[in-house]
Amino acid sequence: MPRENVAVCTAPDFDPATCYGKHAFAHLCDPQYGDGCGGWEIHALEGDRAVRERVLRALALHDPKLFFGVGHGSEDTFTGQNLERLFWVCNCRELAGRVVYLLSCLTGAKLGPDMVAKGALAYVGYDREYMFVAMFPPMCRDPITEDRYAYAFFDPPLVFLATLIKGGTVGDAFKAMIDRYNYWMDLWSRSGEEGAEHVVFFLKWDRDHAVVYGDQSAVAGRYVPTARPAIPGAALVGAVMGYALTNTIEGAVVGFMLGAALDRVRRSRA
Amino acid sequence: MTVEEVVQRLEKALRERPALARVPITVIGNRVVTLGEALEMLRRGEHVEEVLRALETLGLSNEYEKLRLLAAEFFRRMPPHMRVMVLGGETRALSGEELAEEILKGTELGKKLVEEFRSYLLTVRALLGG
Repeated sequence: MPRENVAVCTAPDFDPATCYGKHAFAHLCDPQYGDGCGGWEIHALEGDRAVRERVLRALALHDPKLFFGVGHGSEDTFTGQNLERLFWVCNCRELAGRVVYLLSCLTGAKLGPDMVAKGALAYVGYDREYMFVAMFPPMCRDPITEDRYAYAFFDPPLVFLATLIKGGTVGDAFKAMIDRYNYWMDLWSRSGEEGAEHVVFFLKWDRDHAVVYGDQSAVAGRYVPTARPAIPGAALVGAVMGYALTNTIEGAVVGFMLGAALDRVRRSRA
Repeated sequence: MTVEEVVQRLEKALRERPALARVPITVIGNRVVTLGEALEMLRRGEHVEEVLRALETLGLSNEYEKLRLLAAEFFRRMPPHMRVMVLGGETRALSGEELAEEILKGTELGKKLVEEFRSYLLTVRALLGG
């Protein structure tokens, strides 16, 4: 019986597109999303660990109620690092009893329904290419902090996962994700910036091809709020230390940013 | 609705959603016309009938070749500092020019882009209050 409040995630990073996804998922427990992910165990298989053998081992060992991942996909296959096949049609029984979210192209066409047919509690993904606008040149960036176009495309998936983390049903989470795509479409359509119309186009594309199969009333766990020191605290300590070490304002600013970043990493790994 | 009313409606919509002004909506003569240019034409009284017809049938026209041309032009105008990344079977980061090429070559992706562009025009129509 899969364990509630446990998640396994795959996040390859062998090319810019997957790397964006890996960085995005690292924000899941940030205050604006899972807010510390209190009460949850999240086992992330990143980079070279996002391979089938490791994924199957993690599923067997942790028996998570929630499985999610970013990766290249096709109608019948979901892949990990260096396009290694993780799950494919007729080969996904390991996901029985779990809620599955795949941030990937096309798996909603065949693989998703097949997962549900083989016992997955619910599947959420996309039945066409998952496309997103990113800054040139293509390189590994954090979409939440380093790419204002890509941010709009990775925020809705994070809202979906955060809703599940906070005890929402699959249906609640799916609706929250669609609402978020609508929010970003509305925002970008109001922008006078050149290219905003293209951002709207691809946001609409991803929204329209998001699909959900299985039990929409399923939940993956519940959220237990935990008391954590606020980010400004860590940032402030960083700023004081930066100033003390360098005796310059620049040192304080660097210390502030370092403190905030370290705290964010700590929270996302919690 | 009078031409003046259409102009007022378009002005209001594009003031609220300036991004839509750059969306190609029709071809007049040999020229691709965007929503913003259509508004200018109505103001100047140029090609009024064609523009009104284009607005009325936005996203509803069955002229595939025209739609293909508009979609290709839409992507060709994507700024050079943007790329479209795909989480598909292969690693891709496409420029606007490359997306337009997909459409003109009639690839699988190109066909999907045209289909989605039609749907996008329907959304634009809805946002304009059509």
